[in-house]
Amino acid sequence: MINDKFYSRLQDVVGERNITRTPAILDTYAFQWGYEIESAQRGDEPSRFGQRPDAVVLPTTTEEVQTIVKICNEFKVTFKPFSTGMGPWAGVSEPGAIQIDLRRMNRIVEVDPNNLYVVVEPYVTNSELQAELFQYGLMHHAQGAGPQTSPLASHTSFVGPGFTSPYTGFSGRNLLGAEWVAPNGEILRLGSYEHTGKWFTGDGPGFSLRGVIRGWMGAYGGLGVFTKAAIKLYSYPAPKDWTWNISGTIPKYEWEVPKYWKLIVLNFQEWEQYESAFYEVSDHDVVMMATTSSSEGLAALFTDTKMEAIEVIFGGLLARTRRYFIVLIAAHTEREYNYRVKLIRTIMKKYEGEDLIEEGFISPRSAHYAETIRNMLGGHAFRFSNCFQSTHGGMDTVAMAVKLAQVNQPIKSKYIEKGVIGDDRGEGIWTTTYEGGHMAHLEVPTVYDGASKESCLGYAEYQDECNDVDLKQAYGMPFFIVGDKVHDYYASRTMDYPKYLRRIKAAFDPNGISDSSHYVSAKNKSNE
Amino acid sequence: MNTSIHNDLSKIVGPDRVTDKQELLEQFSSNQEDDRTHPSLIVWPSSAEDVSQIVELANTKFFSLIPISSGVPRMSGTSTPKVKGTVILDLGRMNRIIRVDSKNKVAMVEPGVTFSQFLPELRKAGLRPLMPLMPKASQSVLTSCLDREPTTIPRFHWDASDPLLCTETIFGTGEMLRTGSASGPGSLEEQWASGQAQKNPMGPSQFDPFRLVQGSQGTIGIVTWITVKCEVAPEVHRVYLAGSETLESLQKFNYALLKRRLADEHFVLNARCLSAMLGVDTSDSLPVWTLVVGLSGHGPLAQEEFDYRLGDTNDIASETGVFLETTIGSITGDAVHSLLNTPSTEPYWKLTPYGGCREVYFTSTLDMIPSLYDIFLEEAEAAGIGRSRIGAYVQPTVQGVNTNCYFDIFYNPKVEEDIINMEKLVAAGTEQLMDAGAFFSRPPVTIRESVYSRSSPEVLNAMNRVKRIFDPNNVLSPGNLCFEEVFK
Ligand SMILES: Cc1cc2nc3c(=O)[nH]c(=O)nc-3n(C[C@H](O)[C@H](O)[C@H](O)COP(=O)(O)OP(=O)(O)OC[C@H]3O[C@@H](n4cnc5c(N)ncnc54)[C@H](O)[C@@H]3O)c2cc1C
Repeated sequence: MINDKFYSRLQDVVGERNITRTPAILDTYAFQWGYEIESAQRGDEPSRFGQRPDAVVLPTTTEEVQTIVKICNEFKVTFKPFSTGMGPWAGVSEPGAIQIDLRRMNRIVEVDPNNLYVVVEPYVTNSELQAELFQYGLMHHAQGAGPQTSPLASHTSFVGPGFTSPYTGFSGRNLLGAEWVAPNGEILRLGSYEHTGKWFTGDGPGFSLRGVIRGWMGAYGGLGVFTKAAIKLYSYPAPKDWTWNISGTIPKYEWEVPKYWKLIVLNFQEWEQYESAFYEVSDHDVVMMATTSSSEGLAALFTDTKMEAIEVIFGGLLARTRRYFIVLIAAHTEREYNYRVKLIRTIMKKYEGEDLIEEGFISPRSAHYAETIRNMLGGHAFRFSNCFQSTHGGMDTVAMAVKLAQVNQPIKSKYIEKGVIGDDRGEGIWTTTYEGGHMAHLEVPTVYDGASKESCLGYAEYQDECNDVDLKQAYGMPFFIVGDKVHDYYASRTMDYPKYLRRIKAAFDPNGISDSSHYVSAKNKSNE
Repeated sequence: MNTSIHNDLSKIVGPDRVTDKQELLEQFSSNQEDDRTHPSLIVWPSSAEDVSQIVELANTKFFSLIPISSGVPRMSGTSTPKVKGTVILDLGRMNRIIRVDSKNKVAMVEPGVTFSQFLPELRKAGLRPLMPLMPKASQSVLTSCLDREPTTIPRFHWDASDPLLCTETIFGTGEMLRTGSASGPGSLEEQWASGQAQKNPMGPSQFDPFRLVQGSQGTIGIVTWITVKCEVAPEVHRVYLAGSETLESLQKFNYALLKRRLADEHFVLNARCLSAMLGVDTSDSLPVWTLVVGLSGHGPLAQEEFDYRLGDTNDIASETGVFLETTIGSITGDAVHSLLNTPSTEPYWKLTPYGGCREVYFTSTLDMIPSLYDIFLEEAEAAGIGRSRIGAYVQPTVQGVNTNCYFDIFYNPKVEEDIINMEKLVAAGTEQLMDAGAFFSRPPVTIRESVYSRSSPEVLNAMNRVKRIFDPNNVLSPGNLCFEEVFK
């Protein structure tokens, strides 16, 4: 337990109103989507409750964060920061730790509409940032987790695909600079800012300290606290006089779709045709979204209720869907639009595909266009059960993604037969490309019943099996290879990278106070 | 000590791959009087295994190593030794193009692969490079990527690290790591079998070692191969030009075009720079600034793609008061086109006007460049170099988020006074530019002290901690970056 002296020192920093140790409030921090799987994977009873923090503190400035981190060092108390706080990786992992909740740091610090970057604090949400940026005809890369989550968390600390990835890339690649309170309490500002007062690049002088803070997956809060992030921006392809217009009511909203936008679902008979078309479309950098699921997934994306989805599935979609990907064309001008539509149709024909929308098997409505850009489509996955999580996640080429989809199908089917995960015939996947098709990743969203012990244990076992397949058959590193034990399990086939990660942890967190449960500890805990 | 190291190195690489011949050593030395700048040996490894053993030897026998990959001329000073007894690790003979994968738009190359060797192979595979503007013919593709040299096509430049993807790196400890998705799981062969092509530069896992090696000027690790992003070669590709008296009048156009990812090559040159590039002495008849815009189309609708890009680009041009042409005076877009995506002929174009050229380069944003240029011209005049001898190349990068800018000082290396003036300008100009907001993100050795003096102690401390992780004995390129020399 933390002691009173420690607590009162923190209280001196943030004031009485911004710190608590009331159990009822602390419990809200211990309840997270996904805990039930993490606990099952550890071999514990699946539980939606994780570790309750000993206190929660809400700083409002970088200096306050710094002081809190220094006090934690002094008292050897571990902490876990989070921004909007969604998922088991946002919570503390051990007794006697505190949660740093950054919700009071919620400013958009600067928008540079010409030089295409924005500087945000942790609790600016994707939805707030979009509302601000659309006025400039701009958008940012928002992670697929949804409008209420934090772009800073994603860009600085956590993975980062999104529905608009073909157009806006991957969070880790879009980070320009960051203000970072390192675990020892030092404040570092990466890149151009400390030399020029501007955030246009995070790299240099010399090598880039971005190399320490994030990597592909992000440090998941295991390496200090990020208090500002400079993020790259993109043109929002809508006419100048377009405004965000929404009408109707839940679940039937109507949205004013920008003039040159169009969804197409390209359906092919075989993986081979799918793969060639996916490569070719991605290479041309003509779409905002390019993604695949199962026919059940397709129905879930473009309907508004569970019943409606079921009707669509059995109304012909299930029979007709083979290997498909959805694209959203979002063009700035008529010329751009016409070229892009023609190109997509040409590629579709070349590989003997059809458009499932045009054929009338699925009919996205205007609100689904909005949900694409808002990254709300992922949430539709919750519709068939109260929970989902993804297996795999390896990121390299389209070809690997296509192979992995095929390798996964029988594995997933096995667990479907056991009745522990949702039945999509093993076909449900999610894949997207990046940067003109230079990269792609494939994950396998899987629904389970978070209230059923059997289902949670079953899903956990499925995820473990997927991790093992990726490891043994070289399908890239899955998303959740984090924490000492799992890193070490992957080490021997990945050139023993955890040893370098541990050295970084030791060098930047000498007291080991930034929660290492989803990162790594300096000493190899899994061998102890 | 020298002979014993010589013998040890011979055992690793074979006797004909180590030399202490004075005439070969001298080319690396900047100052004949200062024996610290004389390397003691040159060694030519032929494999990553050799490199790893050499680095381990350096750690046990305490000598420093400077890795080099490109041929002459050496312009940055990075490869000049700063401590006694330095061994030059010349990777030039590791020059295999290991793999060109047109489906995945990527190539895997060793350090010694030069642009002149690389480009024909890409062409055969239907690919085009993402490369700097007219590098010297002997420039290593790998070091160009490691130095974060700007490339000419901003729309393909997603991250400052592009086009670098994965690497195989031997750290200063002698340990080898493949970075990005190349680390595994599995060997390269297993990865190829599962459809991979070493495309994801990030990771492995929760750190980005490639970002620590890139920009480190040989101080963190020695890279024995990289994968590099390429693009599909276009069937239709044309270059348009626009002349302008000021940079400001191109600003709106540049910003609007960059946002749309319409253009391929997109940069601005002053008359001095353009005439040197073209090898013509017509700088007087050229506009003060020339905007270069390449447009292309590829695939099944190549011509239609090109037409749409041209149409939309022209619309932006007319909205922003810019007029794109295929010819300006005696200069044609085709002539400029012929210089793109190809290395310089010999001698290197920057050396043709006066025999010598010193580059001052930094990162900034487009709106900042006009005032920075004025400052530099004033300094040039004050230093006695004269405004007309300053070349300027303004290259938007990271899809328009920032801009890399080169101010080239053309001088005559045979005239003592010219050298003195040039150095005066570099010193004073750099300070002035930094005061006015230029960011020297890739500082050459000559200005490293003044650049790093503006970094905070926290950042320097962090960089030193990284250095201690990957090169604890400071055997790699001591004296580069913010790391001090040792073994004095
Ligand atoms: C329906 C659904 C779809 C999803 N789709 C995607 C997707 O497409 N792409 C994707 O990347 N993820 C996806 N996820 C996973 C989810 O993104 C992440 O949980 C979410 O982005 C992070 O939540 P958050 O933004 O609230 O960040 P937080 O929970 O606040 O933080 C995430 C991690 O970063 C750390 N962190 C946060 N802020 C800071 C800070 N300021 N300093 C240091 N560390 C910090 C936290 O400790 C935590 O470990 C999805 C989740 C759901 C439920």
